[in-house]
Amino acid sequence: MDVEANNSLVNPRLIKWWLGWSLVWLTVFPLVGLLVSIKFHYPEFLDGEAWLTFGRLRPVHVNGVVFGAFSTPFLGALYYMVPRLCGIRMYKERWGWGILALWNVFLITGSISYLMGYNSGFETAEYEWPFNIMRYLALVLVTIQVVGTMYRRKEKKVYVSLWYASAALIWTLINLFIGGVILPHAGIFGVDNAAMHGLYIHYVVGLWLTPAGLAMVYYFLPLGSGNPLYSHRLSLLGFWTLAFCYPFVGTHHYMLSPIPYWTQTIAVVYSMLLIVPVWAVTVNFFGTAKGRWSAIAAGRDGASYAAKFCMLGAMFYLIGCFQGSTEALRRMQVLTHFSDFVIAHSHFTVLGAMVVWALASMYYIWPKVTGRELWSYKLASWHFWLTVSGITLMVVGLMTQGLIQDEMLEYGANFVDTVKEMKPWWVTRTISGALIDIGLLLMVFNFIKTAQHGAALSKEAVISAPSPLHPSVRVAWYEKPQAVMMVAGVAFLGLAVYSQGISLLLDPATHVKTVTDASTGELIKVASYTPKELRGREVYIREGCWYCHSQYIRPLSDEQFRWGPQSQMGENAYDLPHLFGTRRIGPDLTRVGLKYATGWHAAHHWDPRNIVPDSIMPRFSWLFKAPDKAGDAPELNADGVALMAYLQRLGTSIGDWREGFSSTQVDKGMSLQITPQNEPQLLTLGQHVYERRCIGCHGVNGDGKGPAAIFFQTKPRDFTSGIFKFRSTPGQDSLPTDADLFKTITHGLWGTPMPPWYSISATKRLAVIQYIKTFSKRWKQEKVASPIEISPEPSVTSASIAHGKVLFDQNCSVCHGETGEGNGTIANSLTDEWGHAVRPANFTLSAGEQGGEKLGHDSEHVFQTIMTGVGGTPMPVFQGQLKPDEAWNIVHYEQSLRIKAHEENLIKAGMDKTRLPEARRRLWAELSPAARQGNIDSTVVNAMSSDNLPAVVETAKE
Amino acid sequence: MAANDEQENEKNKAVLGSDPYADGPYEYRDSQLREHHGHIPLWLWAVTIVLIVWGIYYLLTYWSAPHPVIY
Repeated sequence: MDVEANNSLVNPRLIKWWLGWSLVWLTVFPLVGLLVSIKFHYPEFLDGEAWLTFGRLRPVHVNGVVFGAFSTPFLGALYYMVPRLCGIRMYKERWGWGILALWNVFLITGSISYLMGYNSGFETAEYEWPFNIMRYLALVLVTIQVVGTMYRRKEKKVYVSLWYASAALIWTLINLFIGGVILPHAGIFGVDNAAMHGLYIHYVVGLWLTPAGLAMVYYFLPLGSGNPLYSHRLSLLGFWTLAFCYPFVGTHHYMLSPIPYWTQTIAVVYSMLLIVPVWAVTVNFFGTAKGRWSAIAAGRDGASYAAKFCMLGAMFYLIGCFQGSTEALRRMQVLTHFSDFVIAHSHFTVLGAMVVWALASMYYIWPKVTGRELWSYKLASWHFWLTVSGITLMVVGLMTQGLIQDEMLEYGANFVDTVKEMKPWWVTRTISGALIDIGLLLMVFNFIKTAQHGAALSKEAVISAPSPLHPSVRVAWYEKPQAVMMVAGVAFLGLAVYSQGISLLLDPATHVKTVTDASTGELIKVASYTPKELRGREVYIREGCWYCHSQYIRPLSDEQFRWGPQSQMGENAYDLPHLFGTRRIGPDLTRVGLKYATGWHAAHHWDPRNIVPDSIMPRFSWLFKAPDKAGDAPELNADGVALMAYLQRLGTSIGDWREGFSSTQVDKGMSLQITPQNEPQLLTLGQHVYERRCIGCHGVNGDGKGPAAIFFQTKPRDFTSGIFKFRSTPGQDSLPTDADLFKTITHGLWGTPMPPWYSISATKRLAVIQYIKTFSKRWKQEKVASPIEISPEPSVTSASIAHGKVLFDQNCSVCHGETGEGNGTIANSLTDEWGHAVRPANFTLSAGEQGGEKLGHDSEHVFQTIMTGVGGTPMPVFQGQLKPDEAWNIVHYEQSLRIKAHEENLIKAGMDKTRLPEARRRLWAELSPAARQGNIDSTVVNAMSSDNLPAVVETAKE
Repeated sequence: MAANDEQENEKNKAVLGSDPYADGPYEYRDSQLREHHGHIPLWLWAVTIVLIVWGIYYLLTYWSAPHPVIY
């Protein structure tokens, strides 16, 4: 049969080529998703190669599915639907060939650019400008064709599919301008950038995928089912409520973020209102299928499979969209956001509805344009049921695991433990993805065979005789193309972009460059990024770190106790692109700066599983260069150094918050009564904890020679010696109590690779202490002494500080330096018990800075350290040499050094100098329980400065 | 199929009082697509109204953040 002649309005060859390429993209891009999925439970899979990391493959998969696997068949379907709905051939039909070529070049080169690391940092808008231009040009040309055809149409009435198709094109042309031009180039920073980006993300989903998908179902379901469309009125309700509601919902991607609260509230309301268009269209679809279910189910031709896939997609659409609406509610966000629940939603809707609808259109069109019946209805059935089972398994699994992970986190679980818990579920996702991909391959095979060997279609099946026109039909204004494109396409969208995006730009409060200092509550300025930090940020974006690590802490108690204080608006003042993120495959990094030593980060990036055995992070060996000497650790290259600088900067804009971080503020620690009954159980648990948390640094044998240790300047403790730094027990290198070790483990040692472990349970911390004690015989041979007595802290006075300085100069300055900066005369020659060079502490540094205090500046800890020394280091025991009051004076002097340095930082950051006394009072209260109780001299608060301290010191000497 | 169409037309008449497509579903000439003028179920109107009322309540209640905003 001459197919060309019988498809008089369309160009079957052109459509066949579009659908042929659709088969390619339906194979390639979901398959990339399968590869990505395997990496979650088997992180060694394709690991170690920059081009194949999760961060590079993820945008290939997501953008590939959106613009390749879905959009290519949709654009191809337009060349079939639009001419038939308008009764005239496509305007400038020949352009279709050029557009197809351009579209494919865009997809191929754009995907390669992602693999090479070109990434704008905006989710779903990651393409760089050359690829944006190609995509934009292709869609402009298609829009001209569609609109041109609509305006030259012979059919007076405009069918609902044309409303959706034309509006989708207009919306998307505007949206791609937002994503490709406004977001990266308009100088919109931080919160404003995030708010605008939230709109962009959802316009891709709600104003491209959704209307395009609905255009196809409205067309192919009535034809496939053999029923008229159920209700034109429902079509109107569905379209206009979608046009009115969808543009406002984008901010729900960043709920509970620093974006203004009222904007989020609008997004919540409109998200819930979306129930109306979703239910309107699904009622319409189910109404259309009414009475034809048996025929649809039993049908073996392409049209029947089109109807089956249409109804399958409608069911997924109904459930997935209800899930999406309710997910926007604030409490639901807490239970579901950042986890795989979100991924369930995206796969429910994008894959389960949109892509499935694209498949439906292909099952309908392919036989028509090839002139042949489906080669095998059995293969089509296999495809259908593999799709049903694959998507159902995937979304049920992802939803369940998402809820499990978010519940674990809400109740305080360690983040890595939640990742480990997810691994079996991720296997399920891989299996479900494989089912879907196998189904797609069967479809490809079936279509190729159909084109080659399918039975010829009857003439009637290719094109039926035209029915009479309805010359008298009245077309309301809201059904006409100009209303669809101008009111729905431009006006409603413009209103939403103004209220949810532009209005924030006009509000000076959203682009402040100040934050509230965490320690003093005073207003300080946020510093801009240094060139090195900016380069590190570029590396962070290039490697796709932001796909797994979010950067905002919500007002949730579990997040604030896990990661630190809630995010503030001004913290993002210099962020372009913003890096809020929508997913936490790894922990949030808002406040990761100074949590770990740079050496820890280097070891972690070299091989994450060396340090965190359950980590699924890729290895980043291309951020390193070969070491100068064989056997040394690989060194970070310029990109690696810059990335570390950026990571260490994160979260530090709000000042020295870590000093007062509740989760690490352990005073006396915890200990256990060990009995013959509980010891074996504790040792078993302790060994497990050690192997998951400690082994990478401290080694299998506890000798401090774990695989990561070569990266560290401060070497991990050798547990076989039984010598520990910080102890409450008297004497040089005395054995510590369990409470001492509990405190160190909980708090971590600032500026060293030893991180805080407050996020594992107290029982586990106590258990691992018992296991650590098995490495040294000292624990069996010696008795742990009772802690030294800590006398009550006296008042903080100018005199005590001055006396402290005198004593400090006599006893401490030779190592710590006269200014307490760790630069005494013998500082460079000091070594520890194992011969490693060590530096005396610099008391002026803030929490977490390398070389500063390791266990905090709080009074009792500093007193205890003076009295018991630092085990395994040259820091001696002063108990017996100093009286308690003298030690307290040194404590206060040491604290005054830190507070003075802190004050200088605050002044440098623009704090109002007149607020200095109040700020100082709060800084003292943070470090000193005596000051906290009001036992602080007013002269200290009002006049402690470098100006008057010498005079006080002289007085003290006299 | 014809019986379904008829039933649908009757239903439309009952709900709306009149049917703009009195002769049956409208048929688009070249695509062979047909559509009923149809109706919007009353329950869907009810859902719409409830959501609008709830939306107004939510907007008014949660326009500003309660303090402290900690869950």
